[in-house]
Amino acid sequence: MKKVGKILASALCVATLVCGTLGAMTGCGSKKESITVSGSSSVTPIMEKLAAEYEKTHDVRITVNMSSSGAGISDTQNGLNDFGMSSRELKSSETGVKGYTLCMDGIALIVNKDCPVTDVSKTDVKALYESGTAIPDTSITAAIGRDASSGTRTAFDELLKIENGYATSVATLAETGNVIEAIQGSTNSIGYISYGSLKSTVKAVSLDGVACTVENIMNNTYALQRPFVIVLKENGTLSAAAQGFYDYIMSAEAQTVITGAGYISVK
Amino acid sequence: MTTLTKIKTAKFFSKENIAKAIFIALAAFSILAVFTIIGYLLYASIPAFRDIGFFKFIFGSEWSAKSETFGIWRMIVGTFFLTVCAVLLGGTLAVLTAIWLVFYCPKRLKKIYTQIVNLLAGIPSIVYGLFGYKFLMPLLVDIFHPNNAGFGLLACTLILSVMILPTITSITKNSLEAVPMHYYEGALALGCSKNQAVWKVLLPAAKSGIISAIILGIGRAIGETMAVQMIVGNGSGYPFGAFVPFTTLTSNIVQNWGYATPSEQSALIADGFVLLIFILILNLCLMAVKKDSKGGNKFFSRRLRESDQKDTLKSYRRTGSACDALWIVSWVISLLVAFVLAFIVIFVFVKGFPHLSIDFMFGESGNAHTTLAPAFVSTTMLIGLALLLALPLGVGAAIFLNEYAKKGSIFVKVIRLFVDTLAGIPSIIFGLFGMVFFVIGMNMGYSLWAGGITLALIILPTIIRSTEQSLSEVPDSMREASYALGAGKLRTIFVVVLPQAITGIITSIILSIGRIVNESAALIFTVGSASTFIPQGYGDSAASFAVLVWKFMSNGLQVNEAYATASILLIFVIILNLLVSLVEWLFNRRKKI
Repeated sequence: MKKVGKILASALCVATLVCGTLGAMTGCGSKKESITVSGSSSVTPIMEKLAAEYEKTHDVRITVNMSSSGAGISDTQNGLNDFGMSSRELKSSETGVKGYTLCMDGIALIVNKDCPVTDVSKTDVKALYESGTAIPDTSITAAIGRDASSGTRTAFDELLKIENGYATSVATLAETGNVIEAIQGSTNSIGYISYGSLKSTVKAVSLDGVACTVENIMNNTYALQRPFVIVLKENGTLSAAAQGFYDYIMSAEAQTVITGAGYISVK
Repeated sequence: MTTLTKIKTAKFFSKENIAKAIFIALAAFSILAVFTIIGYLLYASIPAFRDIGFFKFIFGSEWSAKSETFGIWRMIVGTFFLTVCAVLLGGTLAVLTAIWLVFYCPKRLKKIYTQIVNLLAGIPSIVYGLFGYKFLMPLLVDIFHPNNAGFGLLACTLILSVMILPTITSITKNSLEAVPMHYYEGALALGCSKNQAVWKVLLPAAKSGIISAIILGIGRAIGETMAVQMIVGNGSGYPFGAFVPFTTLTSNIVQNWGYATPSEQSALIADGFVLLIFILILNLCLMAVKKDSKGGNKFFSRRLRESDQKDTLKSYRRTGSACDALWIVSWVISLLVAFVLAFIVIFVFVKGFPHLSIDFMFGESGNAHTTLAPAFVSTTMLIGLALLLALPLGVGAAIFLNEYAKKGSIFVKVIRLFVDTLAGIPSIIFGLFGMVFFVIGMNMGYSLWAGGITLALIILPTIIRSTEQSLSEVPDSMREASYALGAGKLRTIFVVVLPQAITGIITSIILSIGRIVNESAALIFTVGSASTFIPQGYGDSAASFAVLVWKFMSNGLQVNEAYATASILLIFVIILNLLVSLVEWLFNRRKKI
């Protein structure tokens, strides 16, 4: 019986060590050129699609790290990525980097599918986020926002002129997905997400009578829209692989992928 | 130089002495680790304290990166309220569960129920978060129709009290079982009913153990990060109301770290430092209440644990008192706890299994289609590195504590204190430390190196304790026999003692693997969350299973994948729990033979 314990112990030890080294060795054989893109969680879905398309024809490895616009920009400033993604225009305080517009995106106001509301007004939404007053004559009493680093939030706040932060009753969530999940669970809340991330699990409402559609964003009648920005280092040069990928996402070919995914081409 | 001194120096550098020095160094490592963590976090938060002002930082209630004002009073209040609520609820439930488990649980159920409690302890924080977010919050909204999506104190309290329950239950159980048997027998002899004896005699007798259990529970509640972060709502208010989104010290760090400017980063580290101070104070409290639960004398030294428990199950007499009502309550609560566990597991399995496919688990991963293959590799790599580092350190320290140190010497007490402190530090603090020390300070970047080393620190206390425990169970007669046969100390340890203590070491390895598989907060800060590709080496960023659940949850398009990954995590946890029991069973069988 003594043996069983010993065998078990050595098996465990050997297994972990072997797995560890095996893990370290896999992949070492194939050294593909690697590109790192990081930033906005709103831009991440379309960037992943573009990366998947590009990888089909090019032998590179594109890692898309999802964080937030702020992080994408500061990563670029600190040289931690090849280029960054932002879902808002760069601020004048963000120096050392340049932004190039990839496409336009709407900010959809979303409610639960069972919520009867179909239209809200700008002033009501602003009042709800700023001071927590329920939207009159509706069942919507609560608002869900995004964290301070979110490009979607920055754009949303700027477009609605919300300057002094949210009311204490507003929950602020870290990612687009969390907003969708929270709205799915609550019929009395409203939230905002990237139009491209809109799914059939939640319902978009119109703003001042204008529906959130590609046409309305294109002809500027839908007020809540912002650019998706690719962030490059001001004086740096991209590696050959990153330059190739950058040229691809800015090409007409990539724009068909972008419009196909529900974003608005600017080319 | 005379021959005499030559001999002396030769002796001084003998194999035995060198080995002893190495073991002392390994044991002292915990002290070094704790001081490094405290020191480095303090060092990294000094800019914040200096620029903002200590009092302004603690008592300021605004946190805004825009205006560079950082005050954590809101978060302190949030953490305090949440902890109080969770400990009141979770503590009550846990103590009742422990009492039921020791005194009322039918013998056949006992092992199964202990498994249930262990399993509750093993469920990853991120899975609790997922459950709270997708099941509990919508449920609360349906019941109470609050003015938001269910974020706030109520949801957090419910989840957190289940999370701290296993800690409190198992320690309370241990201290109840350590009560001398004659207390119980004496109470019965004086005419108490069983219920009266349990509630009025045995429970007060185990008081100090229960208090330390509660303190450990408080520590767990204060430090909990990922689950709380998901359901707390991170609002800018105070938690005055069941459904007001608020922020805790931990959720503030997780939510804001991603984009923080250098000044905000320093403020966040300072936030973590304040959290660490709270934990250290709790540890000191713990030391103060801990007593040797001796009780009894050499004639009456039999403990409840050692009794065959037949007596404790018999009820000789029933009185219609409040104690009997409590007896019923403890039954109800215990069944409820078992039900909650079953429900969480079934909920995740039902939601996750339909989305599990061979392709999703092992298929090639890329930008178009993320699979779990990279997570398998990165999780194993993390386990391998962390164990490789922590196992020699931990076993060495345990050998020193049990084989070399004088029992009860001050050095041993100090080392134990630091091992306990290390065990009490929440994973978010380890994450922050790993971030500033390994990722930034030592220039490792987000990498498996940084994550593996951080994890080694996290699992070190588990390995030390578990190994020490089983070393102390090796009978002295074996050591004496070995010495008598002419073996040296070193040889005795490696050839005689360690093989006997192998069960403890195996158990500690399994427990450590469980801890690593569960970990998310510390890894997000040290390994990052790149999940698309199989890591090519320890220099790469990667996502373990737990981090992957968080990532799938966050991007909003892959909730089904989040459930599927969570069910795999739960399967791991269940298997590891069964393995621990299997090892114990094998060992016990061996003992009998």
